[in-house]
This record gives sequence, structure tokens and C-alpha cells, in this order.
Amino acid sequence: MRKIIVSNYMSLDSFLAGPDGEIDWFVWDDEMAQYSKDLIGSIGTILFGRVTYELMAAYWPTASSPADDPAIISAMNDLPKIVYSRTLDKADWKNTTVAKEARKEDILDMKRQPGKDIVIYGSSSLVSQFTQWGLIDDYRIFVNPVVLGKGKPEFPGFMDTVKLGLLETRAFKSGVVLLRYQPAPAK
Amino acid sequence: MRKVILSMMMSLDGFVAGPNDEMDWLPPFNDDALWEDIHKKMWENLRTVDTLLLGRATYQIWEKYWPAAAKNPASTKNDLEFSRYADETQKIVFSRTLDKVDWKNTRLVKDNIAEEISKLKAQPGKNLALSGGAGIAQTFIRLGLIDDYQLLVQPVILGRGKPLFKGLENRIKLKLVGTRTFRPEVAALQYRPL
Repeated sequence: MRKIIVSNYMSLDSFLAGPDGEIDWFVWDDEMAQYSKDLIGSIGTILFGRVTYELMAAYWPTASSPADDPAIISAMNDLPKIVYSRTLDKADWKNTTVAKEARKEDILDMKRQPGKDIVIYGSSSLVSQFTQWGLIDDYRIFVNPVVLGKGKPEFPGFMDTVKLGLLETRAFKSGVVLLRYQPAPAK
Repeated sequence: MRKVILSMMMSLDGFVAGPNDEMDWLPPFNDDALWEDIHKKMWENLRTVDTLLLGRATYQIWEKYWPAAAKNPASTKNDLEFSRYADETQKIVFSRTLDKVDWKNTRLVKDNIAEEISKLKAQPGKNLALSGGAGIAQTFIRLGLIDDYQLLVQPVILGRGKPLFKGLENRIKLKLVGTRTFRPEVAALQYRPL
């Protein structure tokens, strides 16, 4: 079964972005680039919410920064992508499908299909929804060494407590800490 | 110079207590074996500390709980040790509403927290530890008084509660000092402000 992996940056106070979507605090260096490259090499499908999709679709098709690895650029552009949005009519970014809503059954079907793993970048509402459905297999949260004070929460809209199981703690040279979790084993 | 150490349990979504101060999201406290690693680290820290900083709510819980724990035959070994430590150690309670404090070795500070802390830091002595109470922690962070953040991240998303960081006007840039994993499934993150 394909795994669903979340790969997200987070401030120490649990924000995904500043109040106006600022991501200028993201730490990006060779180590992070290598990690991201290894991860995307194991991925067959990328899932987005609308907001993250629009950011990414505005960036990757013309990405040419020396900080971006060519392997990551081509993976982002070439891999099949699904954006969940009620308001988008079409998606112009290569290999992108628009789905009006995420339905649990459809996601489970996708997981049962053969293929490489599935990743969600950003897209906090999607992550929250999928978490409450118990569909995320692997959370990779990159805690950046900053307190933002305000912003967009990484885990919005939780009505109930969700327990996770710690898989790994890893410090990068930049001061970013990877906290990796799986769903808590059923007791 | 003496440092102010903030040492707290936090959920992955940044809460240090539930909306009504619930702590039931933590593993059971009465299980010394489960907490052995964390207790060992806690005592390592406390050996560098000679003053405990408490908010009003935490003080009121502690002054009832710890002296009684010393006399309770059901107390765990760690609880007994900490009850002695808490009794004997100098404590400062920050509260505008309390009129007096009765627990031994305790002093009340009603206002001017920042001044009080800079006075204390200028005096010789060991470190000062802040280890409980969302409100007092938020205040100290807002006033820029924390020299050392020691956060124990629990593997849980609470959804709501009392956040550790609240009411900040500006970002706080941090330097990662270290990270470790403790049983039971706790990621310890240590930072100091840049």
C-alpha cells in the first residue's frame, strides 16, 4: 500500500506561514536540499490544498534558482499532482488534476493502487482533514529555529486530541529539527 | 551570569496545557519507570538551579501538593525527592492578586517582573528555573527574559489549549543548542535566543 507522507516546515510556535503567508523564515541549505531530493525520489503523486498549490504553481514551472536542485525542479513539474479546491476550475501546472473535494474513499483507493508514495506539501487544511481520517502514515515536520508570534497554524481545526508515535528526531546543521511521527499504534 | 531556564512539556501544536489547564494528555505521572529518562535530565538541570520561578496558579497547586506529597506513603520515589527539593529551594511567586505566601522559602513579587529578574541575575548564584504555568511562561517570553528554552515535545496534537507563545509583537530568532529523544516518545529541543 502506498504511504501518505506529510513534509512540512513549522515554526517552533507551530505556524506553517506568517499571517500573510510569509515563508521568508524557511531555512534552506544543502542538507535540506539533499533531504528533499531523496524524499521526492520516492514519490509518485503530490497532493495540495488550493493555497499551497497556487504558491507552488507560480514558482516551479519557471524555477531557475541555483539553490534549486534540477532533480527537484523536474520532479515537481513532472509528477502527477492533485489540487483539492471547490473554487478552482482548472489547473494549468503540468500534470495537475483538480478535485472538488477530498473524499476518504477516494484517498484510500489511491493508496491501494500500485505506485510510489504520496506526499502532501504545506496544505494545512488537507493535513488536518487527512489526520482526522487517520490517512497519514508519516509526518515529517521540520521545526525551524524561530518563534513567529502569529501566523497560519500548522494544525488547524482539530476538535479532538490526536496521539502520534515518535519515529525520529534529527537535528540539521542549520538548526532545523526534523520531528518524524507515525499515527499512534492502536491500543 | 545566572540564566533563566524555561523547561516545559509542549504538544506538537504548541500548547502547554488544555483549555482548562488539563494535563491529561501527558503520560501518567505516577509511573516513575516511564519517566525515568526525563527525571534524570530534570535532576541534572535542577543541580544548576537554586531558585524556582512560579506563577500564581502553579504556586497554589504546588503549595498544596508538594508538602503533602512528602507525607504521603503512596508518593513515588521521584515525588518524595522533589517534594524535599521544592520545600528547601528558594521560590519566587509572581502575582498581582496574592497578598501573602505561606510556603517556606517563598517570596512574593507583585510587579516589575523584568526589573526583579535583572536584579536577581546580577546577584551571584545558580540558575533560575521556570517550569510551569502557561501564563507566567508567556509573560517571561514576551518580556524577553528567557535565556534557555528546554522544550519537551509530546507526540500529540491537542487542537486547542493554552499556547506557550502568546501575544508576541516580533519574531524570536533562536539558536538550536541540542536535541534528544527521551522515553516515552518525547523530543527534547533546546534553544537560546539569538
